[in-house]
Amino acid sequence: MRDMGAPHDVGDLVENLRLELRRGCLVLAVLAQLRTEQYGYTLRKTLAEAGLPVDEGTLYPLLRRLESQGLLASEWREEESRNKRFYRLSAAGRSVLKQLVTEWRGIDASLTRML
Amino acid sequence: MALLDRYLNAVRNHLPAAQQDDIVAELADDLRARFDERAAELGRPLTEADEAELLKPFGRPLLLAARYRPRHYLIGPNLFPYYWATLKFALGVAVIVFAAVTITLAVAGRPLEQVFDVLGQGTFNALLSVFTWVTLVFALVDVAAAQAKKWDEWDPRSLPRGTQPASPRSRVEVALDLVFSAAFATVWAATPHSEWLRTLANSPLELGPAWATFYVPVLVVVIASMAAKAVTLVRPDLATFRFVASLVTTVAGVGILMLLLGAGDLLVPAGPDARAEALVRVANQGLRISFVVAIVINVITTALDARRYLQGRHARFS
Repeated sequence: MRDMGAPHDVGDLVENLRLELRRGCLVLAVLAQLRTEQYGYTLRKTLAEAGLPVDEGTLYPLLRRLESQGLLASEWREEESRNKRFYRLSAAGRSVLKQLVTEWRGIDASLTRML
Repeated sequence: MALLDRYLNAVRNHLPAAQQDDIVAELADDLRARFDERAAELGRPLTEADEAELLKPFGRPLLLAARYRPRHYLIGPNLFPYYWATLKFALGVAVIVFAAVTITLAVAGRPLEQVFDVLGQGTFNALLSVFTWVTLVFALVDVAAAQAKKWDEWDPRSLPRGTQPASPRSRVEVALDLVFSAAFATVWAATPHSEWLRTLANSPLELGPAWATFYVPVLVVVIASMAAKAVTLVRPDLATFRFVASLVTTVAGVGILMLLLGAGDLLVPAGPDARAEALVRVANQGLRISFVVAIVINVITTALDARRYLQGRHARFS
């Protein structure tokens, strides 16, 4: 086998691959967490506490994208004397989440056998 | 103005106008909650340095705002290879054309100032224009194709059969051919306006009046042939187009050559020089022979192309 290209910094490489791997799981995690209505700040904290911290500046654009795709619904409401935007899974989101969960379990089972 | 407000203001400036208020309100709520939480942890109001520390991970306002936009690139991966190939080719042609023009001006004895002006300023402007237009056209095509979901339409059965390259000529060959055609077209287009070219670089011979009828037809055929070569360069897989375009331009070219054969003396003496008369006879005879040779070569090449094309079609449909 040929050794292609210049050697990379292994630490950087691992970090990039790790981020890539986690990024792919983030949509699933967000959809799963939004089966219960939440606003961005609490969602980010919940994800971090569950071991999936989200890059700053990534969560809100992702929520907007999922909403524009019809997977989330949102509304502004006042809570603790502050206006907050609450997100929850839409009917389409629930259906997509169900399919993604099945897919995830398949990937998980396959990888578990391989690793 | 507090650092948070300055940051939000900067983000707002880069957001789509219709979503500015909504996005900034949500971001402001999140950031204020973080600021409050941090202040509670520290047991004191936040300093500007504390605020900066909390804002920094969000990234520069422009980058944060860009994440809210659906499109983060000018030319996507579907079109980029074509864009890159076209850009390299167009820039290469521009450089060669300008080099040819510069050399022509220098040989024609134009002032050095004019020559350097064309070489420097002219080339730079041309390259910039080529880059701008190619990029703009490809960006627009990419947006339109993405909206029309054209990138999803692909049929593997449209792939060429066999392992032979789609075009019997390599891209380098086609590119070189195109460059020479461009150089010829430039010189040809300049000939009616240039005494130096019309008199064949101040030789004892000059182009005869018989050429006047052929300036435009020749130019049209050369430009049409260049357009066909440019398409072949970008899409070497379009075998039918390549064959038809080659057939049409060859037939037109051969037709013009045959008309030239019967057009009388194409070269005439530039002045009342007795030696030029003999030279004219030899040169016209040589020109006629070269036209006949060119006709024969073109006919044979086209026949071979036709055979190759028909064999390719037979292989595809059998």
